[in-house]
Amino acid sequence: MENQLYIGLSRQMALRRQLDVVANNVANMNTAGFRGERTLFEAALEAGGRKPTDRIAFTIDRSTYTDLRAGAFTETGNPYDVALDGDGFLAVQSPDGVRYSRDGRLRRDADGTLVGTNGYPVLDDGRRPIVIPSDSSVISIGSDGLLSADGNVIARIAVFRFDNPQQLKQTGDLLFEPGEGMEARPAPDTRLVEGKVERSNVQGIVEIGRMMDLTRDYQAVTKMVDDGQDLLRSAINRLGKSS
Amino acid sequence: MRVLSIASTGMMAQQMNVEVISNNIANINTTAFKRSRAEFQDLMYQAERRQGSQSTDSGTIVPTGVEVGLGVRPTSVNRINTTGNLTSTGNELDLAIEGRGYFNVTQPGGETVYTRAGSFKLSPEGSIVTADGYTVAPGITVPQGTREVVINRSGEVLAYVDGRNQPVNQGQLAMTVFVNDSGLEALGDNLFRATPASGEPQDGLAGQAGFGTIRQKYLESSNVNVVQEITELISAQRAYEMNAKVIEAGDQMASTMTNMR
Repeated sequence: MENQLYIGLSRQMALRRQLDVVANNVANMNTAGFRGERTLFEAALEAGGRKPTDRIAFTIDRSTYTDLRAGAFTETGNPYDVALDGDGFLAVQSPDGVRYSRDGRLRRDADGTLVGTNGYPVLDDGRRPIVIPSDSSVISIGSDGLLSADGNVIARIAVFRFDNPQQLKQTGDLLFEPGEGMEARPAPDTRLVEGKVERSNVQGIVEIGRMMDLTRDYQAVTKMVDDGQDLLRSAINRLGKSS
Repeated sequence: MRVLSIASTGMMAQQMNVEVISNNIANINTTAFKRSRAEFQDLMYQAERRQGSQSTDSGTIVPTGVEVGLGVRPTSVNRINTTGNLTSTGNELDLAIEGRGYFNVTQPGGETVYTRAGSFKLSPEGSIVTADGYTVAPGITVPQGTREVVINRSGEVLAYVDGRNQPVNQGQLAMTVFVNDSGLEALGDNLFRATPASGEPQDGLAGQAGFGTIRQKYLESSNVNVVQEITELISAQRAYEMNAKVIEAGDQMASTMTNMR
């Protein structure tokens, strides 16, 4: 009888966590290069009844996964902005090692190094930082990643892809950390689009719809648990009459 | 509840976004104003289950973990330094810089600050000053009785004085470039100050390699594009609303819980 309570609880916990994921997606609706997250649920069967076939299913949220679809591109006119057309990632040198990002809002720092929004250097195809000579005035980035200053080619911005991008770990700051044994391969099919930025791939309306679903589900589970408690209470009252 | 704090980071971020956009729109007609863009990043992720860990029931490896992001944070307000349109004014002390570079302005305390807003005036003594009366380096004076001032593309100030056919060269305007223009500190009044992020000021003259040239009788307009700003504004406003809705949903869940018997 009490199983109902615990099944309800497992569902409620999962729904709350799912709402957290929706909230994070909505909070990052306008974060350039952001990738939304989704949740996967699974029923965990456990022996609970008298017969071996009477099994109960609890909800567990098996995993979150990253929605890797591209966001829309918007024109910014800023020559350092690049959007990635394809499944590639830019490589940046963070203090903890090489990280990968879809955030193409680039700039020059005080030394002339090409850096991302974190201030981490963007790497070229030899995994070295790219330094733009300080007296160069016209910067252009070709679709193949070739960066030229005043018409002279300086370096090629590296673009990498992964065979199993779902195993990338989001670490915040729009960076992805490759998991154990994951290999970054060159992504020749990914084009760089200069002067544009890739928006977040979160679709607000879809998230709001999901959020409404969640609240209704939550109410329904709560109602179910409530009803179960009513049943239990009346059973105790009726069956337990001693007179 | 985590959801409330996550959604509130979203609301705060969008509020800041609207503030930056409103400053851009407010300065749409400010000479040489550069639009700013609020930039955001996602906050850290809480790993509830690491990817690659072993799943307890079947012994298989979990390909993706459970990670919950904790919201959004503003990382920078980045100035976009594209050149604005040049507009003809006909005024001989209006100067626009075509390309990179800043005019040097000496403040009363002696500090050098930088500007691209070249709507200059003459002081009562005849020296070239900004609209606020600060001297434009290196401090060029136009003699009494000047009919016309011609400033060429390299910033040389030539004065045609009454009674003389040949112009008199009064000096050349100083110019400075920075490796990272976006790192300059905005002081208001169209002025900027060098910072460690902008790189050392590199002094030079207009027309040298890596320096822009000067266009007399033109002013650089702001690089704000109304259509773009309004679009961003709508997008920010909607995102704000949606974050508010998420807070409402989180609150509803909490109240459902408290009403349980």
